[in-house]
Amino acid sequence: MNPNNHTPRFGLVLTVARLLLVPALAALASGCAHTMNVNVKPATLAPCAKLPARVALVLNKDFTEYTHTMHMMGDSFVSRLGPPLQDYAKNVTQHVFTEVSVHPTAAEAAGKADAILIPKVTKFDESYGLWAASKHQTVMIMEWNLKDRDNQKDLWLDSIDARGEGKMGNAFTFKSNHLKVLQSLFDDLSAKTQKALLESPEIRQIGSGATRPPDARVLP
Amino acid sequence: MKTQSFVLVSLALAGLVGCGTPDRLPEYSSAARAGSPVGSAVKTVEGEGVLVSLEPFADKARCETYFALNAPAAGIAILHLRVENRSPDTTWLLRKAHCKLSLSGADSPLGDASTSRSTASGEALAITGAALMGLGSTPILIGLGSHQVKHATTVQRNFTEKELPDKTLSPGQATEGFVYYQMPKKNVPFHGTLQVSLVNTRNEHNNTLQIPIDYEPQ
Repeated sequence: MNPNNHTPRFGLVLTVARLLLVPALAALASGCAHTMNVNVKPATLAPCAKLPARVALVLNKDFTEYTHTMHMMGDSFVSRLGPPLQDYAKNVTQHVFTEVSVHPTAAEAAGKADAILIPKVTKFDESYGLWAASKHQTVMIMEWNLKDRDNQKDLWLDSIDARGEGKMGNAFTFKSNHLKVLQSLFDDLSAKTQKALLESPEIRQIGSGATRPPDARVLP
Repeated sequence: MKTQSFVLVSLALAGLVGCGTPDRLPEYSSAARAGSPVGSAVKTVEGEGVLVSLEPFADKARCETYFALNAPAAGIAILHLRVENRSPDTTWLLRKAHCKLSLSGADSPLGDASTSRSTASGEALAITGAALMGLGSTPILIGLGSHQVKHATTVQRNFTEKELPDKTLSPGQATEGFVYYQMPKKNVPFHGTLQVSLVNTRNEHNNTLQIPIDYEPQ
């Protein structure tokens, strides 16, 4: 077709199309942000004998307000992981130790128990395709640090590598599928954390006096 | 018209068949080979009851098998580390941040693991971005873009999964994983020293081990 042979009607359509092109491109460039609450259920942990220790669990702001953003096709999907992370940390520690107190900072936890436990998300990554049937796989590296009761020394540290997977889903099922993936991630994380805490020789020594500094005295 | 249909159907099939990147790349462990007379690429040093084995991943074939990426060509040096605590009564704290790679004749250490990992992800995602911007406007071509996204995100996740964990090593415990560094030049050999520092959790004494490296991309 000769581009100069436009009818007046076609010319109008072309003009409107040209006018719409800039806002359309701008809309593509900016994308939308979707915030998702992550309502995962606390994992059911294997029965175990509780360790006879009092632990001060530190859930700081970085942990309680942790979010993860997934960028896909120009949109951002923000997962609020802080609430499930808090539930996970409390669930596992209360299952493993006889007494757990929760504090917002390590400084506030100092001197309040036999030792201080600090969880921290060090990495979160995921892989996915854009098809509904594509596999969605996640990995979270969770660091657990045990410090002496005065918050002076690192006694034990472990990095737990938890994984979750499922299907991406389509526009209608993406959010529920995403939740299933995170549920499997938190289930794996909880089981692995319980195992790591129970198997650590340093943690088994808490409360036995072995974690006290050499000059500490037990008052009569 | 026939040719056009054929090309479109081929692209659609390529989009549906799936890309060459598997969902999970194979795990690597040097533990199975411990004690056996392995190749000269593995270097081992011991100090204060800690044994560190270093194995550079400098060949394209192994990098593609375990990382789905020709890492030396992307300017990333991948090193496999195995750390074993053979002391009878000391617990050692190992942190990646305390593994420093220095070049022969250079004063400052190379970019650390996180910097290099970002680079790897950055390169992979740059490919994805280009693919999506250029191709993602039709359903068929979104399929092709999907493969680029899957490849890039799988490479990134795999780097995270295989990274050396920060952890304490009780007597008798061992750990292993990869550390990643920015190469001075892409695909160009370099020589240097990897310094691994561990901290005694009882008295905070540092145990620093130095391992020479000859990184020669093949």
